[in-house]
Amino acid sequence: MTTTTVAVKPLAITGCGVVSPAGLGLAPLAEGLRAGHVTHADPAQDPLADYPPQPLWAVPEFSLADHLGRKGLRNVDRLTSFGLVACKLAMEEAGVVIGPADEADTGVVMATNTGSLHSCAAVARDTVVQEKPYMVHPGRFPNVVMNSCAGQIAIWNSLKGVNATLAGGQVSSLTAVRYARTAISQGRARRLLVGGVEELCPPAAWGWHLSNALIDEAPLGEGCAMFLVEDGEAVSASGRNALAELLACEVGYYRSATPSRTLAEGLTSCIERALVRSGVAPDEVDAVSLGATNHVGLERVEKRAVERVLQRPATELRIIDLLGECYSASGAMQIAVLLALWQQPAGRRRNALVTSVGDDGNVGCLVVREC
Amino acid sequence: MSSGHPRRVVITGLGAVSCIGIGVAEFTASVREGKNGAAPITGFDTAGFPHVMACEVKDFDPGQLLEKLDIELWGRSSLFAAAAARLAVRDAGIDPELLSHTRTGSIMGTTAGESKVLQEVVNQWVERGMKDVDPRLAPMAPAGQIANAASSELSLTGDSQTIPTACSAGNMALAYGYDLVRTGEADFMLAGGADAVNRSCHAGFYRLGALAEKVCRPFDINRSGILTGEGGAVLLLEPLDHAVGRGAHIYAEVLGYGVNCDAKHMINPDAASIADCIRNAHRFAGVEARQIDYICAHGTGTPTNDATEVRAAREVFGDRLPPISSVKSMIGHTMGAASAFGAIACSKALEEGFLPPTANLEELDESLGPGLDVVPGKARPATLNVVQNQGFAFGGNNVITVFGRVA
Amino acid sequence: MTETVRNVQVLQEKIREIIMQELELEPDELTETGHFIDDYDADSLSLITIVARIEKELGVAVPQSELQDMINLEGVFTVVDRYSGGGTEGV
Repeated sequence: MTTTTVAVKPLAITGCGVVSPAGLGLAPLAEGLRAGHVTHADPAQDPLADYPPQPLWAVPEFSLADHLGRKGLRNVDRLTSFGLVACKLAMEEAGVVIGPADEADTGVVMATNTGSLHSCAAVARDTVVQEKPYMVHPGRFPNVVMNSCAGQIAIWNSLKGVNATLAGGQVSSLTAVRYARTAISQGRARRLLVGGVEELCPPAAWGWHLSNALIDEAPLGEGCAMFLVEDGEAVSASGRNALAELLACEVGYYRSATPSRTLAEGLTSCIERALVRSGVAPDEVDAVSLGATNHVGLERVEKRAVERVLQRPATELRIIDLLGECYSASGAMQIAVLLALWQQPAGRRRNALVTSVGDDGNVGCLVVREC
Repeated sequence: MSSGHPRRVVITGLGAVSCIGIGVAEFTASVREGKNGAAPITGFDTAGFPHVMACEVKDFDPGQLLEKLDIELWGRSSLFAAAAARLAVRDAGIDPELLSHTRTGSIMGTTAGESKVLQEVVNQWVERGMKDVDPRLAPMAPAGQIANAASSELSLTGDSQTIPTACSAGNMALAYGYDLVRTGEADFMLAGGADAVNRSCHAGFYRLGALAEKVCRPFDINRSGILTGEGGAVLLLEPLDHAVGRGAHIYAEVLGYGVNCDAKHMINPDAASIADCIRNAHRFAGVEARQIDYICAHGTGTPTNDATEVRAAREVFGDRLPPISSVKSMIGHTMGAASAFGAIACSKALEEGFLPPTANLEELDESLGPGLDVVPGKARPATLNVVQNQGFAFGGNNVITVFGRVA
Repeated sequence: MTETVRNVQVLQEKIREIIMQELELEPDELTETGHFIDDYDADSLSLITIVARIEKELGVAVPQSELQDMINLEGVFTVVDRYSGGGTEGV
């Protein structure tokens, strides 16, 4: 019934901005890949609570004022600061300056599962511990809505196009890519800043720690990776360069109360569909940027599904070994690390899979092609 | 993206879990009556709050409504979404197996996500420390669970997507579901929204001076703010051809939507930007302003919103302002579910031929200008052909959906 | 100087600090009559935040209806004085 084999129109990435435990930009990621590791910063002491005993890899401290100026930063929380800086870097790289003519057709698509859990928890806590339960900080209350990061990116850059925020568990960043493709193909935007953001904070870290979803000593990371994307044909027609093309992005849900297929079967079918719709054969895949490393049970599900489709080994990128678990931002970081890897040319156009599978039952696969 | 002509999309099932009724029949009867669903809050301890009214869903019994979910594993917002989705599927008279064997998913809007789960985590943290918080709460907390709950209940394998874009999220979810079905990325879609009354929103809106004390009175001279509300509102989106082929009852057609972002202020709405969004919606729906028979307002009942919303409408409609009413007057501000409830009201209004009312109006605010028909009191019979359903949000997200009667 | 006068001065100093922080002003930028909105680019959210912080940190609860008079430092001092019962509470 559906056109699940119909080819997709590529989205071209014209700029990429990254805020990660490796630092700012793609360069520290590329360096980390070369060296095989990244030197990590500890998270700052949090006045609200201690962190659990788990490796925690924070974004190295940076001055937001250096990027955005002195004013208007009062109520910008840390999660939003990641998004603002990553978007700025992406637009700088693409050489894009948004003028009044472009405002209406440039938008934002951001993946986050909780928004700033730190800000939400602080408000919730204030309703319980303050002298009066309504003594929450009004200036920071808007940070409680999960779209506040995307909203502030729009305000800071005057982006009036579609402004979407998406939550899909581990697969969130991939769902953002999928949403972006629909938005552009349906004429809702000509250009979109797409990506995912995640923030280390005691509630989130304890959530992982208590859930036992990750193996012991699995590192937790944070950050934001944003990509400026446009219709691929439009980019090449105008003679501009692209970093890479985002081809098909397929997702599915396989944890029903009465499931018809296993997670592995579901992910396998996603990968197959994504390859068919991208016009890429399994033996043309050079690398797989994995998402479920360190997830109990899911790491094997992911590997098994990839092996089943590719039928041969491909270069594996385990971004979690470099950056820690980045959850809502994981898919976006998986794409960023791929771009960093491809900064070393190989003499042919490479293709890669970006896979993701979450304990919540969501699975996803994106095909990326070098330009 | 898929090739071929985009197909027409209709609404064939409605599921409502609200403070004025569970199920579309009860909900609609209450809307027609202009019923006010506000009551003193029972879902959390209100000691210390000067205002204690909200629009909570009374007697919500998820075990009664749901067929598959283990209700212990999901938060209140997720259960609202799943229950409303199940009700929509039953209402549509469609074979649930058809949905689970095709590319069908759930797209759910939300503002505060699993707010009650988060509050419980925080309560336990304050009481006993982080490391003794109940670990079962962790997987229940992410907002993605809201769409997952509906997908799990109905055994769906397509996109299971939560769209947490605050108070216009319901419309944003409908818009995305519509695009996915229209372009063939999906066969069917359950789309809507869910949220739960919670301490943080109650405290935050009070602190912002946007929370009414007892009554929400949109468009009234003495309006003083919102009352928070909760519930789940879900619509089944189906290709027109398929609906006709199976002899489905069709409520309305989704003609299109407009979407934009103010990009000015996190909280204050912008009339010019909203007016742009209205024009955008008309353009994509292929209708002209003069064809709009009714505006289902965002209508929160704050002094700012109602004035801005009417001003924006006048920019587009000029002298010919269609009747405009607020469902929030009856069910409060249900946040991520709000514009989905608006869509349900619009669907029934188109199908049965009536204008939903604005409840609680005592004195219309004259400063909103002349010729303003807010349909005060009870519903009024009217043949409607094209209506628009408005949602605006923190962050400046505006989404306006347009629905048409199917003869 | 009397205890009361000194307390009022301390209260006013704290109010000044709150306003400078929320409106992102240097000490010499904030004058008694500078208009928060017209001169300092404040919006309704920053004004609400100032009032909220005065309630929480200085123990003086000012009703929403007074916001319209609190459009410069002088106005804030006047209104706070009206509701603080002598300027000695919560300091």
